[in-house]
Amino acid sequence: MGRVIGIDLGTTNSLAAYMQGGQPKIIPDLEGHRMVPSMITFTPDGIAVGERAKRLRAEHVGNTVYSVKRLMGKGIEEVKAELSMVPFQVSDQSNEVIRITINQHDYTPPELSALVLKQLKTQAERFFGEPVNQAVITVPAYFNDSQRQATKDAGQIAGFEVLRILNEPTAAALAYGLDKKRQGIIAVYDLGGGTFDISILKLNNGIFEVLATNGNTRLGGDDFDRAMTEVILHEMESRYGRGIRQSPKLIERVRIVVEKAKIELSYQSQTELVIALEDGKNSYRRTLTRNEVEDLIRDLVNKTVEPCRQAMADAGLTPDQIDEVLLVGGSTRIPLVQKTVMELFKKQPKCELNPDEVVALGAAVQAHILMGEIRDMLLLDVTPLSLGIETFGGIMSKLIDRNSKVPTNAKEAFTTFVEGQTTVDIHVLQGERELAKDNQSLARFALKGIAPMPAGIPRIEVTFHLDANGILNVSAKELRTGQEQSIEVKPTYGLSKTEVERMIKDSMVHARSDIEARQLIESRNEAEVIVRATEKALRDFTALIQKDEVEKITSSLERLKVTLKGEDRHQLRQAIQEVETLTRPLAEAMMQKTIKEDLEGKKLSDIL
Amino acid sequence: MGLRPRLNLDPSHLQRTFYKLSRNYHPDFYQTKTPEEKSISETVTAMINTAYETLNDPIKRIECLLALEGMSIEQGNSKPPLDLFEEILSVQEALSDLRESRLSKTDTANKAMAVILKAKENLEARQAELRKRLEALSLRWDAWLNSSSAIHRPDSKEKNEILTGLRETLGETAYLRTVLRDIQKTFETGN
Repeated sequence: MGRVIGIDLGTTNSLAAYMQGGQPKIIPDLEGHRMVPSMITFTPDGIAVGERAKRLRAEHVGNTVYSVKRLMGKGIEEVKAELSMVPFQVSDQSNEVIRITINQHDYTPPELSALVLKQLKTQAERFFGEPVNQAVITVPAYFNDSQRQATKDAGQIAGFEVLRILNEPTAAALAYGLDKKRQGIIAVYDLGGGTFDISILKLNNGIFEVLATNGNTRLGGDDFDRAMTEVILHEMESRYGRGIRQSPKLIERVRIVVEKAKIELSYQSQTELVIALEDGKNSYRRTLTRNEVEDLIRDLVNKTVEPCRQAMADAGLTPDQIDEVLLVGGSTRIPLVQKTVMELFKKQPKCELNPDEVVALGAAVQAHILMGEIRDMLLLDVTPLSLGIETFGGIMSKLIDRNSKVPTNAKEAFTTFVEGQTTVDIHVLQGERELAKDNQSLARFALKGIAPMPAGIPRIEVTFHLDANGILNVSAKELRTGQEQSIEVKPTYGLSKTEVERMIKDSMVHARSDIEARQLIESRNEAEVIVRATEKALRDFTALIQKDEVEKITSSLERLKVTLKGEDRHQLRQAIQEVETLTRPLAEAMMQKTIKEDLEGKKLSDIL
Repeated sequence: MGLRPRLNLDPSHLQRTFYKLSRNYHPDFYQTKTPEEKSISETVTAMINTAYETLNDPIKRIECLLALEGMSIEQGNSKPPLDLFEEILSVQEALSDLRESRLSKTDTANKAMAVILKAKENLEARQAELRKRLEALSLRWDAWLNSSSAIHRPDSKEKNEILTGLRETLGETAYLRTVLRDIQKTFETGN
């Protein structure tokens, strides 16, 4: 069966964790990094993910993709504003799924996230020395059905069996409450790179019961960076002219410098910005203070307050009934955020666990529960958003209320309006608004093959099942005949089943071509070493061998140099073989000469 | 099975039972089992969750009882308390005035605001009263259940009175809740 790992697939960074001796631990990469930047850079030499992508991004601005999480399960209309701020291209082929164009190739957000997940998979397999095929992957608690499904798709494309899509704040609570002495009501305030969640839980003898959750899936550190970048660019414009904004590379440099400054300002009251200009000579310099940044991001931070109030109201609690507040996510290191949380909950928040790692650690705990290794802990989670269907007049009729415990079922009976009608269309929605159009459209279903009857006579009962992942499943039954009804599911913003299957296949093909590519690079490196060594030997030791042998070696060396420029690994291996065979006499002669020189003037006793 | 639908229950006992059932049937503990067992665990847990949420909410509990007794309570059942009807009408009017003024400080808006604030107080007081009435009716229901007449005369006058009372009161609370929510929403967003 292999190992199961827990994965925090973050907007900015991603991590994997596993259980050892009852404790969750982070899986580091070969260089000891614990986080993989959720960043992908497409270079002519191949796809770089994580730290390498981060290093290469400044030179490959149009070909570096990041913050993909904010695009997961979204339609193009929703993220238009967002996409105008990022330096990558969106294909005009984007309809129900966003497609990002890189080197004339289109990628969907799940495929891009899969590259990050695959990096974590490889890292874990190297760490354990065995295959890792199952994972628990976390998502923001406030993610809707489409976003959860997109994350699950990404996991499958990366080659995982996704055991569970787990809510990030609840994962954090699991890690935090691992020692069972923790009891009472806790609030988890999770502000990450791109998303905000608040969850309120009751901890009781190993039961983690979520009472209410709320959030904003488009609010996080990225937005702080954007607000700051905008101000700096504005200043640069007035100093150096409008041309500044014409350079995506410069804008990207500003973003990188500003993000670094933001992090520094959590620990110091001011910092120095230095941004190299395009002319290569001059730089923009400026002192940035914590106060300035706080003024810039205050409105954004305040956007987290209302979801917290709503969650408390839904849980039927007041701030003084909450025993502890737990901080999760890198953005909770910002002093202004901590201050806001303290004023809201009227108590000092806790950050005893590393806010970057606690979600992945909790995911590992949940993985262990699912494998049956832990029996005394159980997470009882809720759905963050109400689920309903569109009824006459474009109104949303709620079937499952937000904060309902999952898994849960809702049943609804449908009938026909016209005599002989054989299909009924159903539009499924998620959200809290009254009008259908103001809510998120999840899918359209068609109930087909209804026997022709007078209007209103057929009764089809549709069961909406929200599973423990918070993902919707639908089944239907004709009540008179008891016959299961066929349903055609068309997700509004998502990949169809066949598309996901194709991508899984593609990624396996790519896995093979990835290996090929790596072997080619390795052979090339080897060939380059051989070329250099042989040329040097021919220069220094020509006298040791026959002239015709020298010619033979020289011409095979030329052939090797030519194949080195090509793409055919097998030809390259052959050419390497040829040079190695031909140079063997030379190598032996060199060896003898060296030995002879070494031995000259020495007595036998010196050698033995 | 000898179990009767009582309306007053001990919340901590309910929670303990819910936790115990969850520990037995939650899908998290059936991940490594057969697809069949997994599917049963999903279905059973969905039922447990619905049952818990219904019983844990006093209003839903009453709605459930009415449904069990064949007195379906749909959204259409919500209706205004007759004596407050005129006041509610004037609130609706004031609310639309306020929305039109976009919360600016015109004379009409100020007048509308005064009407709404006064009515809000009245409506909230009535809401509290209705809640008390529901509590009293719930106690009466449980008392009736415990009495011998529940067994010998299952369709007594007392029973019908309680159920009708519950339905009326529930309908009025639902109506007032909508009005109060409208007021709240207008105050917050201006529309």
